Amino acid sequence: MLYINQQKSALQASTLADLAEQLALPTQGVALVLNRQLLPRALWAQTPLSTEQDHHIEIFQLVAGG
Amino acid sequence: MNLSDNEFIRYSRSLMLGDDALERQLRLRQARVLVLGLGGLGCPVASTLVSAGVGALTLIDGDVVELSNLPRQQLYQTNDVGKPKAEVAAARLRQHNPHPQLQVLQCRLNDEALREAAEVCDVLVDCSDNLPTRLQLNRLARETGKPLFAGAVSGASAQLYLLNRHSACYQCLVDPDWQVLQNCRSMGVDPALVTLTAQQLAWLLLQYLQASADQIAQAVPFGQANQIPFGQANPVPFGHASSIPFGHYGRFAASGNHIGFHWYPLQQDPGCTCCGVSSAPEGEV
Ligand SMILES: [Zn+2]
Repeated sequence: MLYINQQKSALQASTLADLAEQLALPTQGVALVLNRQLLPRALWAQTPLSTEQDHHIEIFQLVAGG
Repeated sequence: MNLSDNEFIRYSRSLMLGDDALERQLRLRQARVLVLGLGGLGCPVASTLVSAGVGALTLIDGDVVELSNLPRQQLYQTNDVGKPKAEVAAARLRQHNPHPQLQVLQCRLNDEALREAAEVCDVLVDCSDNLPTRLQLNRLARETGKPLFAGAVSGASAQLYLLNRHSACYQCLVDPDWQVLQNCRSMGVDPALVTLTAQQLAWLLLQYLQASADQIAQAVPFGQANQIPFGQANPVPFGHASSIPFGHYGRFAASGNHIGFHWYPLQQDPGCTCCGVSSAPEGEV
């Protein structure tokens, strides 16, 4: 099962990049946490989302103010 | 090397915090910290470090005080509007505690002066308000090998990242080609949230600066320390650096019975042009 920001999701994606595309995430300024690991965007395409286990995903906007 | 009578009285409440409190206070007095950005994050961070008794602070901010800064930037008074932030901040901090050595540095980001200042500091603190500055300071931290403590706040979002030469870097996460990230000018900012974030950062800085090299070397990696069963004494002494989440990105959130920062280990991008394999000089791979 896939959980996105603690909500169950019916989406089926082969990789994180695939998921990001299905969610139409912005191409800039978004951070993605998979099972408590913050993964650089460069790794999304090579990070598979196997269907055998639950995946907990958190998505948030990066900010730069101070 | 010891504290003066005046310092003993001033820091007496800190000196009650554990058997090694005096050593911790002395270590803090030996420390030099570079704070870049004296806005909503930089003001409380600098205030807390100075009042706690840090040895030296290098303050950098090229802006002047604006009226819209005042709801959260408490080092500045209404009649400071239009004056240079770094000068005003240094003067106010000196009034508060005359012991720390305060240096105001006027420089651009790519100046040699900034590199020289970074090289003599123990840590770099990023309290800036924009992406290019953050990337530049990240690179400088990587090149000088100095730990980077950073906060970032906009709107109702608050984030922290603590990086060192063994961890991933900020550029692993943020692409230099991105236009801009959200900032306070575009999104506004919650005054209490920015202060809370700054104080979380200051607390982590004090934990780090007061720890001995042995305590840091022997620290349990962040996230692996066990919960202490109810009724048992805390086996971790004050100053133990197990709580310094280097290589982690923290995000403020309220969920369940927890309000605070949730910390995630940041994976390195092997292709990162700042810290990745491809960025290492010849022969150092
Ligand atoms: Zn990197």
